[in-house]
Amino acid sequence: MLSWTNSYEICGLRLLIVSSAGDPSPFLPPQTEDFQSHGNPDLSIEFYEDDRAAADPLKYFFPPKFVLERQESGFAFMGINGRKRQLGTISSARDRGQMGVPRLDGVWRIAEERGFVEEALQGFVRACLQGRLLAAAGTFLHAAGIELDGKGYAFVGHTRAGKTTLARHFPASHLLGDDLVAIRETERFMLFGTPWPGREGGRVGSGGVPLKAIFNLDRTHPKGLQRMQPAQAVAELAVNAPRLGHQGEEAELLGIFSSAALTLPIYNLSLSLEDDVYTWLKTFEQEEERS
Amino acid sequence: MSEGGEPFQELEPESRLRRMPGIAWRMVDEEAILVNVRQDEVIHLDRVASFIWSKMDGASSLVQIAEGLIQEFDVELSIALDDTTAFAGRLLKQGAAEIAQLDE
Repeated sequence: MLSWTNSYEICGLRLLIVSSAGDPSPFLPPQTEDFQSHGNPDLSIEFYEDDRAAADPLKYFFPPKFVLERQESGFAFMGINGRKRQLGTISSARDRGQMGVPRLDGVWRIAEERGFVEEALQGFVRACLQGRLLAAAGTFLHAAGIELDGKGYAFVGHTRAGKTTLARHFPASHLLGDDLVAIRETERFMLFGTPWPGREGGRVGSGGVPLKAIFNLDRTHPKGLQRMQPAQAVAELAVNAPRLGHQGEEAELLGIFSSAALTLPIYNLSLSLEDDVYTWLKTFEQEEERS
Repeated sequence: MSEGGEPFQELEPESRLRRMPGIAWRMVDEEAILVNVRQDEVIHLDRVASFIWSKMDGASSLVQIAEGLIQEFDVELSIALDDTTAFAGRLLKQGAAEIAQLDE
């Protein structure tokens, strides 16, 4: 049987997706197309036809809540549905993922079936990418990402901290996303857009920009900028990292965030809705020059 | 008796505590960040608590940890032992540490 294949570069990692169950691209975010690339893969994901998944997709993939469990041979991607069901596997080197799915170009009995398959498929791709990113000193981050004059700025914060509102201050050409971006330490920390940029969209693509600073949006602090102590910064970043809940992942995240906190300026930023974020970025630049 | 009135195993100066394996942690600038995987919780400890936490390896007794605190933070032994025991009790209650058995 012919397989569908496509290659992408996401967060500086080359991803190969292979499917013997039909074209999975309509199940991925539309922005994924902007990451198309070529080259030897750092990570390959395979979707194959699975009878159990095809028998009753609604029951098999419902509800869309997933965790990653460490096993002797690697990781199991589990769906939680009162009990846990293994939906996919990821190799211990986190360079290969496999997931059984129904025929993707088949006919769905009800629309919800397709919706749940889409959530599971995207959840699996994200879990594979997060695993591979962690192995390469990187991670997804719930944050708005901005690129200005070749410099990257990440704005993390709890739900309703103002990430999307802040992102609206910037033209789409400067926005890497308002929900999910990625950071990765190579020679220095880089900031990347992802295929899941959020409501405001953004300029997605395979390239990253050097990360200049991270701002923690928190209105409970006095208005303005306050430099965070490294430990405090690590704690805030850990709170805002998408986690799949196994201990090895937590230890790796703490390592990446510790490195970020010790090499990058990380500030608390308390803004009102009407505040011009450009002004505060200028203030930040002046503070950095002074220090 | 713990703060909430629930009984937990009595702590003695010779008690030895061990960090629970489900807690990922890291020292950053002499302060510990803990991530409790099961409870999806991130905890930032101050320097004194971080010192105590870092010594809870199942081998050091509470009084030995308190003696280390004296050298590090210039406090009296009674205060150091009270602080160590109180913090150890909180960790036990939160399920972040457990008492190591004598034969371990």
